[in-house]
Amino acid sequence: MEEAQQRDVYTKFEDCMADWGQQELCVQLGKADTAQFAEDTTGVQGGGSGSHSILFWGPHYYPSERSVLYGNRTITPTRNSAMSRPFHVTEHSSAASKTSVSKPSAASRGGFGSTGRSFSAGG
Amino acid sequence: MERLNYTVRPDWENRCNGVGFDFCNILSKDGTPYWTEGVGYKFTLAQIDHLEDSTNELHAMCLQTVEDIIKSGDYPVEYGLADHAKTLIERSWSESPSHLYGRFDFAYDGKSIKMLEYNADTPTGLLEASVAQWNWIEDLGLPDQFNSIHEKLIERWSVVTAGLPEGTLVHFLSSKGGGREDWGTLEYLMDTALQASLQLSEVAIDNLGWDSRNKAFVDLDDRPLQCAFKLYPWEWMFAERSGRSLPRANTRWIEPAWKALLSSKALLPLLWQKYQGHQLLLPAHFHKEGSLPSSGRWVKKPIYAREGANVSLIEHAVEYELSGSTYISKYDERGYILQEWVDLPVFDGFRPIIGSWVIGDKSAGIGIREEKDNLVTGNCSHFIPHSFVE
Repeated sequence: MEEAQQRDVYTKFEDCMADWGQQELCVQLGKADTAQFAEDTTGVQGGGSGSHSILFWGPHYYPSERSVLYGNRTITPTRNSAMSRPFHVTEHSSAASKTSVSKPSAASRGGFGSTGRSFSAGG
Repeated sequence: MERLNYTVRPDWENRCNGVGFDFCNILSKDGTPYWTEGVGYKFTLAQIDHLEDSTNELHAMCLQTVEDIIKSGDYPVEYGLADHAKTLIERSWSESPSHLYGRFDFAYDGKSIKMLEYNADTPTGLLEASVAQWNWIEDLGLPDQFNSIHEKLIERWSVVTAGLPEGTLVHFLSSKGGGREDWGTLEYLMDTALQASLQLSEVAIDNLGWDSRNKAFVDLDDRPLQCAFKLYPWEWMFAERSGRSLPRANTRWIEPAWKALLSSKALLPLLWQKYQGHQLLLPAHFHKEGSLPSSGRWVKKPIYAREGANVSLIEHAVEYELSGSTYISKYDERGYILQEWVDLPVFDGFRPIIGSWVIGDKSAGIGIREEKDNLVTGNCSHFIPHSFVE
């Protein structure tokens, strides 16, 4: 079965930059996503008192390998500054406050590229 | 046509790196860089005219062959196309037949041109042909070069994106497994698209998603792919897991899917059947497993392969390995064609192949790669610039 991708959520743009180092990989959540995220995390429609007004996505990645290809290089964060989350949290061994928030994309990924991992595409 | 020595530019690596051609100094197996500095081919204007006219003629023949196949619906079984691939090919031809580029490979000795193949889907060797070798003649003050590739690419983007809403994001895709050459070529094409005022985004094709609810391929931010340039062969996309979703999406692909009919070696027997005896073609036939021709010399080429892999010589019903070709079992899957052997000319011990570029539907310039010890031009060949005189 295909591994679902996830994205980290950050309360600060700087935290996302500290992890991934590229502005293009850190994107502010839209209003709908922010509200949905708040609802998911608090269980309260609209987000409840614990909601944040501005949040940022990191890039999609597979949980088994927290890295992404950017341009022609792979970025693998050495830290995880994503915000903590009370529900559906992937615990990290370092500290409970350093947790990664999983938001599976609606899209099924990895459907292309398998041949290109072994052969040159150009001719 | 001559192979001449020229002044070595002391800063040639910087000149190449400066235009993004940072794979110019990748070493081949013989230990020399991919870009050959201090040497170039020199043509006459008449020879350039011959190359240009022949390229245009062959491209028109190829388009006619594609049209005949699609109109008849009679896809040769050797292409191995699944129904979803045929659907996409037909739709691409009827809705947006415009395309960006392609590269013929010619055997040429200054007199006779023979088409070896048409890299019509994912040709590389582009940046070196368009910009790096142009800088070479400018630096050396040479009179002229058959090369309007860069200008024609910029012009062509408006054609291949015509009809899309203003500001449409064009995604540029290559494979995570692609080397520096693939990504360098992709980024060069992005530069030409940027000069054509397009909005761009670069994504690894491995990271694309399929949004089944909206029936769209999406990028890492879940933005739908409305228009995408891919440096990734159609036959791979058709065969991979998301291939069956291709006809369900509204993405405009560059190159369009009908290019799959040209980039396969299956084109070569089809061209020969249609234009038998044409002076620019070599006799070619589909290879029947277990049967080798008893007379003549033939080159056996995989129907789907790249960079000279799995190419062998057939002579008197015996198959011989050819130096420069590597064997990859995957390329056995779709069978082979046989193309009559043609001797490549030898200049100072080197065998050149002319890469003749088509941008849109026009011949746009040439790039030359050559081999010394190998008979097959593969990914260890060297790039040699050229010039011409009237």
